[in-house]
Amino acid sequence: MNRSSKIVWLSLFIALGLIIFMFESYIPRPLPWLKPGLANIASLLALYFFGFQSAMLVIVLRVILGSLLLGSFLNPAFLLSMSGGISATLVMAFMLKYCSRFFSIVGISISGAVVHNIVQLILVMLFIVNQYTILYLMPVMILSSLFSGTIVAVISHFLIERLKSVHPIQPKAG
Amino acid sequence: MKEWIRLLTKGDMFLILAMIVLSVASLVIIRRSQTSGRSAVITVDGIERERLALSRDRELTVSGPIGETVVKVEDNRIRVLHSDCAAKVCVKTGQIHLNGQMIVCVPNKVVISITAYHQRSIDVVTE
Repeated sequence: MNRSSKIVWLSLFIALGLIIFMFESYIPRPLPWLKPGLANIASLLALYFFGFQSAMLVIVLRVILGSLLLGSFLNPAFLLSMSGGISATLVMAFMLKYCSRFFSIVGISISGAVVHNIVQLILVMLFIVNQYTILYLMPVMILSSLFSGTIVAVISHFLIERLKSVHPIQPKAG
Repeated sequence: MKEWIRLLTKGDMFLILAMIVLSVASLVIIRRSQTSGRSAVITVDGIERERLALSRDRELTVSGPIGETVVKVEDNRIRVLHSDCAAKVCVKTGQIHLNGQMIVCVPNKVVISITAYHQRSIDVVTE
């Protein structure tokens, strides 16, 4: 696959993630600090098709562009979603490379979602709240990540299957 | 639709089950250990601003970096009535009354948390 078609695919993935992210921030949610995190589909696709560096590029650009659209660039919420996104992508890339014998895309996506939430909660505890009782939210967040991580994995799985037949890009793994 | 269930490996199932067991267990432990609090502490950017008894109904305003946060105490519970932030997560959190519960407004750096006692834990700090 040549360089320019890789750029096109990555831009499509970023645009996809951005649209889901924007849509998600406007739908009402039962618990205001919980978000489904469906935008993770974009970085998961990039990870499966182009590997770790591309997934990192997709998540970083998606968070920056999303914050510019929402008007939250460089504020605490932006820093939280940046650090959550980067650590989730790191963990998913690690699991895909070294643990894909044990876990399918479902397990990888769930670990990404759980790590995203844990990292954000710990950062909120350290820099904003300064009280450990905020960690009481952890079980609720983990349960919701199981749910949303599974949805993300299922959607990504079908997208990967379809994309494989549409275009000669082949997944690097999985 | 059944196709994706066949995706699940033993590792996935183990991961999901372990997470469910861990979080349900800790939810139960947390709920059991939480009792109704007696006062609320309001901090702005980590600095304590107000300490109120939940037994007395009142309304007050604290100001943070981006604007004002209006807080209301009623029926031994506390909630944020109005805030100048964009997302209004603090308002949507609703009322809280259990020890350790908190309302957090990230943009305005306001944290309201419930504590068991009505005294300050430290009187004074000398350096």
